[in-house]
Amino acid sequence: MRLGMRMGLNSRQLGGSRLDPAAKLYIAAVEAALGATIESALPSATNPKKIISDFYKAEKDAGRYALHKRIYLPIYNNLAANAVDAITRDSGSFVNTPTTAMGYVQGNGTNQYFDFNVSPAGMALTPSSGGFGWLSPGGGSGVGLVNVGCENSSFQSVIGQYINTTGTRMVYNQSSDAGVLQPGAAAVTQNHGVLSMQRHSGQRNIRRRVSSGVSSLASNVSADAGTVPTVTMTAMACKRESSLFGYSNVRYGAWWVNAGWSNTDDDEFTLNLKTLWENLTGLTLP
Amino acid sequence: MIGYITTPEVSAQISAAVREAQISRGIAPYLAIHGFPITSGEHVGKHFLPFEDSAITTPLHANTRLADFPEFAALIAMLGGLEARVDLSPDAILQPEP
Repeated sequence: MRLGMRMGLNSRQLGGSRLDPAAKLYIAAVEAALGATIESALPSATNPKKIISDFYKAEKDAGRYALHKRIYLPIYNNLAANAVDAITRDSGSFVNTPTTAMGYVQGNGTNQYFDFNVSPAGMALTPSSGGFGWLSPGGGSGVGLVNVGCENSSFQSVIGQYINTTGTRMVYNQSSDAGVLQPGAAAVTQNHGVLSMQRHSGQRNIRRRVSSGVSSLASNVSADAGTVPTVTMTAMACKRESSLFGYSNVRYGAWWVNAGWSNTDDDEFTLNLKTLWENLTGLTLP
Repeated sequence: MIGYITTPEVSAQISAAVREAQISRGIAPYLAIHGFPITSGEHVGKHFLPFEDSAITTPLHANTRLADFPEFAALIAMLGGLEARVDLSPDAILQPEP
């Protein structure tokens, strides 16, 4: 009897799911938000649950999972599912109903954005360590838009990234609108691909991944300064206390925040994220 | 931008009602509706509440739409109906630089 029961249990284990446990929780949260299976929302994906699980496993195997603060995948053509954080399963908020599609979300560039509902301080970023970024398959127009960012008043405490006529600028926790700059890149296409901004080991780094590979856009060495913002982090615009500016009409397939990591880790993560997004959506990054 | 010209008080009421409609159903608020102070033009002092046509068809929690919520009709009626929407220039809600 005991042997038979053991055999029965083993049969269930062999036929059961081997999905990463955190992935299972995320998938369950997304499906609850969808009111449908994740397969129905991602018709181009072959076994989306395994694809998502493989992403989690890769980040855990690399030792980066504990560094992740938030990862949003607004790819499900559903605002509720798009707002589920893959790390905590907490929900961000889409403000004023940006347009959803399979693979991305897109704001109108005038009044729509995404609120993480948690501040960089609340995510335990520090003046010496933190990172953020996004994945964009394209779209948008103009410059002067902010992809991810927030700040307390008067630039005393800023974490964010924007592109204007002088180039791509990352500002991490500085008391002036300085930051690290990739000069001369004023085209909206500079927002496309996987853009990562990292504060780590005394450096500020902007790195960009496109289909042809990954490269450093800008890097500098600078001392810690300022204080970490206490307003909530936003995407598709920058929140400055209670007002917003820099509304973006670029298409987004992912946003994230992390405790800062090395360029090596950054490149591995952005490759994993690119693979995740492309395999789930059937789309290709520029 | 398509939406409503309304008072700051009604704008706040709408925002709170949208939030409450989610929380009362045990759903963490994933959708927020925020109005903007109108800073120039003939409607200075009032609020602009964005409401594009896409908002009506956007898939929400459990594959619902805004019109599936009983509160939706009352909120739209408070604003004067869908026909009361206007097309406002984005310049009208620009905030002055600090």
